[in-house]
Amino acid sequence: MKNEIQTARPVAVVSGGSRGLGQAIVTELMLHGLTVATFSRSKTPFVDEQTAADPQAKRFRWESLDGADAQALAGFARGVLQRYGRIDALVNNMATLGDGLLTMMRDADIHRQVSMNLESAIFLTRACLKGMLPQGSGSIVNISSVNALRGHKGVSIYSATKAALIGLTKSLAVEVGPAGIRVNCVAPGYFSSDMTAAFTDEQRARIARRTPLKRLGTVEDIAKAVWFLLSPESSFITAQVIAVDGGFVG
Amino acid sequence: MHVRYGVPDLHNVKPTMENLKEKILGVVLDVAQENSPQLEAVRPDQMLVEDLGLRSLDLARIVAKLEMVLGVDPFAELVAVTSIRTPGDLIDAYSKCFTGEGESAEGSESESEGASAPRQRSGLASQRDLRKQSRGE
Repeated sequence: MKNEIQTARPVAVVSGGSRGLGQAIVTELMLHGLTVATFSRSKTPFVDEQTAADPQAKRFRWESLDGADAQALAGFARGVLQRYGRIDALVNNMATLGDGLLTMMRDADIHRQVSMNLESAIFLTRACLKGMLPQGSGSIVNISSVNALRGHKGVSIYSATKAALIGLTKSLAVEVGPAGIRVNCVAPGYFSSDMTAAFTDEQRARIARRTPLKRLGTVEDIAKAVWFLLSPESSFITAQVIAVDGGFVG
Repeated sequence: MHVRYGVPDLHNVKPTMENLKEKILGVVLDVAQENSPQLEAVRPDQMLVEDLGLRSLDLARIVAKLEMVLGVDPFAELVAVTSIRTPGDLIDAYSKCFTGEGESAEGSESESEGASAPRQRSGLASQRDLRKQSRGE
């Protein structure tokens, strides 16, 4: 078959792996020997660097994709299966944050968040499961948020989508567990990223004061938890939510 | 049966009816043997649940394996998965993908329902049954 690479390496699909947390997850998984396929709307220097180092996409594959397009997501997963012959891991990382009071939000912004944060995870998961079910193995990690566990002003839709991912995780874990597939969730607390870039120093200091470990998280903190849940080290863990938040008390 | 992990190029793959039947029965047997290792063959008229002991997740695995082998999923649009009771129903469903039958989802669904009406419900992949299960009914 054209463009097909049969690989013994585990293959991971990561949504939104071109920057921020997604980039850190892709990096962590590649460090552990996985082949990673990811997508985002636009290229970043990280994507340019990886594709330049691996022009035949043997270890890293990137596509430009609108995460709100369910058919495109299914096509992406099919393309990964066609290319590498397997999908062993999936990280539903892609998300968009539209903050603001609910009553002030435009319909389009609400739909966009639900589509990008929740529906995309559902459709991508369904597509990737078609590779995992025949193998009888696989591990899925959904990136939720501390906002799914505690209420915060101005992020009601974001929180709703992230809480829904926890529901998806728990039910799907029960559904596909007998087929050898694990499903877990990581709920990051506040960590340095594009989403927290607008925080003032005072806001950061306040978060650190309320965090027993006295700092904001890093993308590496989250990526290592994701790797743990994907790895054989967690082979008896499923349907769980791990908060990576330094013990943040709200 | 060896399952090829990779989606075939649909333009190059058009199995004959006999070939299609053989592939589908092979995949059903593969999955059924996991629960019943003594099983040597499956027939198109056997009930997936009652005769072969398959559950809804087993059907999902069969469909995923067949998508790998055949490169098509008739349950995405053409056929209602709840109409599948036997390996023969699966053969009918997949043959639609290659013969161009059932181009309209409505047409194929009503055809499937009509054809299977006299049969008992298998309970496979039925949302109503799943809800009943979750309520302990």
